[in-house]
Amino acid sequence: MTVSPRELITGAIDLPSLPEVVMRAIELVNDPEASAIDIGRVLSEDSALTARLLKIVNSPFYGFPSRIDTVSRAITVIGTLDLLDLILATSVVKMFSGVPNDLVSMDSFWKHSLYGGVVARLLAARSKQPNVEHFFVAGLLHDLGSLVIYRKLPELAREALLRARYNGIVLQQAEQELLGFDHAMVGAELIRTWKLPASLVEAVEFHHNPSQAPNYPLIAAVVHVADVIASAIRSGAGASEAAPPLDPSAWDRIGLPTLAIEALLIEADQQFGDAQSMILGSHAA
Amino acid sequence: MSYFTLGWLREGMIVLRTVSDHKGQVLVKAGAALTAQDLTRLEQEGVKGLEVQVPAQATTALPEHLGSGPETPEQFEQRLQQRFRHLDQEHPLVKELLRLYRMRETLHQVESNGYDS
Repeated sequence: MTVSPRELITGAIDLPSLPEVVMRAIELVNDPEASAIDIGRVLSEDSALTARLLKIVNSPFYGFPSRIDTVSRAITVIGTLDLLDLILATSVVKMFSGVPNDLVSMDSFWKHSLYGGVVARLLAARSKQPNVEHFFVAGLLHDLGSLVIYRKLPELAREALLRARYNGIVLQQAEQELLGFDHAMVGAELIRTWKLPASLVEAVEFHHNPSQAPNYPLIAAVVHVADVIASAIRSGAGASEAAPPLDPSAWDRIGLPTLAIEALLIEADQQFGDAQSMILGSHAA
Repeated sequence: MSYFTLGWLREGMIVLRTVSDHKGQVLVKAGAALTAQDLTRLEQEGVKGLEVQVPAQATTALPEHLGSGPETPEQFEQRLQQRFRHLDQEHPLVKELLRLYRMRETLHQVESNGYDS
């Protein structure tokens, strides 16, 4: 296999790109001169996106006591960084829900990703991290590279899935053997081309080996542990699939007691229902 | 046999060890099937959890995600081991995930099928 992750995402078959409005909003978020009103004005050009965002910030997932009616008000209340992350969450799921593949159920794929995002958010909140939505998005997008591989290299992707299942090896090892790279590298490359924050790139790229993340080991560790928990604990999410191995140093880095997990999962189950309706809506199935 | 924390205990589960309050008064007796009153009392007394056995009909119920036929305890164990095969089962987090997975799956089956007790 001679193709690289970069060639895979820039190759002949088009992959969805982030909507222009979202790209401009990302630029404004990174622009210290831009105000909440400027960002709100850009986002308001896309009425569907605005409606989705307002639905999210008014959902029980957020639990704000009073109703938020405008994007600029949402920015004031939850902050530009968190809002950017929510824009990404809702936009990426919507974009990729239209990417067909015969290999996996999109419903199962996004439910696993979303549960991973919810668990990552809770792990971050419990370990007192700021900007917990960033952890949520990183968890949500951790396996995005798999969708690219399913779409662009379906035969090899099928072989990797079968090889992992029947040879008892982890999926990323089977992908490395067959392709020379894995879904984590592809996902990171895609996120990099969208010019999203480097922390998000690293969280996705190193979600199976978080100790190797050079600059953002904590978010990589959180997403890694969230992936392990989501894969191990959720019934119905591929009954015959195996959870990926745990890097013990990632759990140590997060610094939570093991006994915290039971309560965290109860909360994750509650939040998952809300997150499902606000992020997945009718797109995943 | 499993240790279930209070929130996971359900009516019909069989108590494996007698539990008493600080004055020695028996709250639930070994061998008894838990009742709704027992659960309320245990909560009032601040009991955190119990070692219980889940009735056989609950563990051999048909899980939604399997194709046909009831799942035996051995098949359940095999499925669990398959899912956890890449994980070091001696790691404290993995041990906890195993415990929670057993509880959640058992409760999922109980709530889908109920007890006959």
